[in-house]
Amino acid sequence: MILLSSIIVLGTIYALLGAGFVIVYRTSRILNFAHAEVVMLSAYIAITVSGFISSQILGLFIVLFICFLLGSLVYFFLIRPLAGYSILSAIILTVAVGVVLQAISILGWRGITEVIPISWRAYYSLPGGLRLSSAEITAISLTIIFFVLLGSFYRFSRIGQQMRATAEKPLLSAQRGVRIYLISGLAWGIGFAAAGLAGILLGINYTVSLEMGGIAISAFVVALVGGMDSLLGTIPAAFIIAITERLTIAYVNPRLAETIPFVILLLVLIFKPWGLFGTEEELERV
Amino acid sequence: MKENDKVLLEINKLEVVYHHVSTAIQGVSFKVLEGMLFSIIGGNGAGKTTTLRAISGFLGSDNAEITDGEVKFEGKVLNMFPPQKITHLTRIVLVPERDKVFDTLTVEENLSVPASQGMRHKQFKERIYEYFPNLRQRKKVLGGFLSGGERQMLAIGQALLCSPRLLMVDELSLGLSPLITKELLDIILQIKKDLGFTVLLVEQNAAAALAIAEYAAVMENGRIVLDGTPEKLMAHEDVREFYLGMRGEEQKSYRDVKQYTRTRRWWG
Amino acid sequence: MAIKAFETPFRKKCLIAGVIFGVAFPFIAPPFILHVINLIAIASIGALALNLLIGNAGLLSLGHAGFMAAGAFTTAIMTVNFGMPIWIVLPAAILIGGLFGFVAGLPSYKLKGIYLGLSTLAVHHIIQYGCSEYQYYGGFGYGIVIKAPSIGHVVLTNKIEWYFFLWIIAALVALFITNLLRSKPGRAWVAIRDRDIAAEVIGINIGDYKIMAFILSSGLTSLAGSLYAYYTAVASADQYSFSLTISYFAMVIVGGVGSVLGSFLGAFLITVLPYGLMYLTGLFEVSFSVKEYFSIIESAIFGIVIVLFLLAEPMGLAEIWRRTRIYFELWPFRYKPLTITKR
Repeated sequence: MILLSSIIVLGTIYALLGAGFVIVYRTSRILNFAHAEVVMLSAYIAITVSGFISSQILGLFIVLFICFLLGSLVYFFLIRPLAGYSILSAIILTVAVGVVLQAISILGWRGITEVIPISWRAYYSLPGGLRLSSAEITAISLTIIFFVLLGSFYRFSRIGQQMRATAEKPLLSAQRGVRIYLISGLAWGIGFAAAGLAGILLGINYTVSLEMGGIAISAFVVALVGGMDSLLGTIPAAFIIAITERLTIAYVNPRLAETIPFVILLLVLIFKPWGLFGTEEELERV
Repeated sequence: MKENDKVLLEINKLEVVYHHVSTAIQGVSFKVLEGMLFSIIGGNGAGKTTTLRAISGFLGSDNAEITDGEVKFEGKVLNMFPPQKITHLTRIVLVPERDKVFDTLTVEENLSVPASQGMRHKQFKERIYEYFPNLRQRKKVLGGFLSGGERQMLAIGQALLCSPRLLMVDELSLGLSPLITKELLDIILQIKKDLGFTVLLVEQNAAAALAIAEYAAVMENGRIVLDGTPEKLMAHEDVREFYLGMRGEEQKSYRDVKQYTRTRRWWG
Repeated sequence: MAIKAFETPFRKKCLIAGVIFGVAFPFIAPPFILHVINLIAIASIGALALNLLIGNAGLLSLGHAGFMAAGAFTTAIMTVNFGMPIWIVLPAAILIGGLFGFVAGLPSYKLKGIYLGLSTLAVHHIIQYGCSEYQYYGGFGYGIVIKAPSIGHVVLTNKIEWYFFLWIIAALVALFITNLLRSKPGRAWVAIRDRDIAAEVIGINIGDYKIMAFILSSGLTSLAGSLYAYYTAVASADQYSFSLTISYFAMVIVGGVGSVLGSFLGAFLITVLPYGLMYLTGLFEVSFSVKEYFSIIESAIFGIVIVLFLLAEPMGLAEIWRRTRIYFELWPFRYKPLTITKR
């Protein structure tokens, strides 16, 4: 049963990681290689913040806001200036950003390993013999809230629609009066905030350490398996990968942990080149 | 042209070069008065689309630049401003040749995207649906799944929601049957009468364009070779031959042709 | 084959001077610098290979480190288990690398962009997993030790001998690629990179050329990996992680995407930068506690330098080189005469 609860939590966190990645990719077509380091840094920041702010909810918002700000700043100062040039340059830029963020994490917190404390500790038993800790419930519920908020924002709000329009055809959006730079900055901020939230949830359920970013590579895989243009698709993709990964670690070979998501990726791409829920082919003009 | 009408858009000796080496248009000059429906006609590669893109700020993404001349809107020079700046400053709105609607958004969402000014957004949307009843039926359909005519309607509707002062339409008839083209042009004419904006129409279908234009210019090889009222253009023999397809007085009778092929088939 | 270097007498003189310097260099340079220069040679080969794939053919491949590992481990297995000489091992490494490249390239028939990128990343992980399992189960601990190779009567242990060996290979690879880029596959790759649907329509079989790019690139990458294993005398799976791929990406991008010269310049800068930073920080007397975090600070500065560099010149070192050259060519004029067509 521990296996089941760990799968559920891992799945939700993977979904969150994948979502953050998809949001950035949809807006700018960039692989954000700093994703893992944002996860780690936000968790460290959360440790500090929880040290002197007693209200957990306030602390959560503060950290998320910091991540949001970080994402927007990265966009405005680093990504936007490189707008016309090869996407490869922007990708390397995100790698460099990741390196810098990692350095900040190490220098600021000296590589400590800790768990983010949450104030309510309890265990809940569900029918079927499943026991979830308060940490796990926090993770699941916050992720659900996040997805619901984000999904409805994208679907129903005017800015969300403009965001989708900008992601599809930036030039046409600009012509129609959409403030594409603000919107892109917003998207990056949200993407980083999602990474930040994932970091906090990881820190609550596992530990905050210098290696925690490694899990984010699966974010890439989750995003692709789900289909890069489907936010909701990250959820089933996340669970497929989480289940396969945990089962492999438990029963086959623990060292396969890093490789398994990629094998799943290859299998999915063979049958569905655009991911499980990718709807559109990326049509290009001849 | 009446002398006391206000000049809205003025193009002076405009020259556009692609990739630093290829001159697309040169020495292009014309004036569009406020409230006018101005049409530019010409064949493929004449430079019509380039002219529109130069006005609306799209050249940056085409790797092209304005190397001479100027684009002036109400006296303000617009050379090489980015599209969003032009839209905000001047309310010049372009309905492009390709990429005219958002494929991944529904019709309703497409119409919600433009940052509208002036009239309240919902009211305005309702009016668009009145002009284009087909769209009202297809509210929830994704842009990518619309037919050619509906896409064009959506593109025009979306452009109108930007409250344009100058609406520029590039190749409206592309991929559309003559019937729908005429229908759309009539609707544009009607909306223009109701709302009072200016229209710059770029068209390959010279007959349709000249039927509704108040003033027109013919472009060839990157230059304007002729301009005047539609009557004057339609009387010009070059225009008649090249753009209106009226070649001489002889008319082949369909009956004669059919007889000939029938005879051949039976007698080898 | 037309080589720019032979065009003018001035350039010929420069070339001769360069060759003389190049030949004399290993004998006058301090051993550590010679070592770094050798590493740059190997890195250049890897960068040239990667540039071919992502720069010229425009195919996003994240499997670079995997192919290097394939080369390194092929070398390890063949020399340690079978005692094969280098002149068999190197071609074998190229072949095996090419084979992996073929497998990695298969998805390119259907996939593009980020999807292709991640499927190649999957291949990398699989190769790395295989190598590390071999290392683990073979009881090799931290790495497989490889004896120095011998060519004929010469055993390559001396850094000077390595210098000539490596740089001759690097030059041959550069020549090969330059020639290739000017021929039919090269043009096909440009078409694929820029407008692949159009390329297909005019009759270029893009599937075949994509696979060709993958096979050639990975074969050469594997060669680089094999040389690296021979030179450092060890093959260790940990060295061939994804961050190695990132380093090579940095070389290609900072050097100049699609440019042969850029591959060399980028390899030079990215290899030298960490050492340069170490030297600089060594110059300043830093307190002991900060010394612990040297490597992190270096990484951070490395990252910042890359960021600033790319913001200043997104097209890389090759572009800077080109501009400098034109400046000196045109001097005292500032602009080239207009070549714009005017009617």
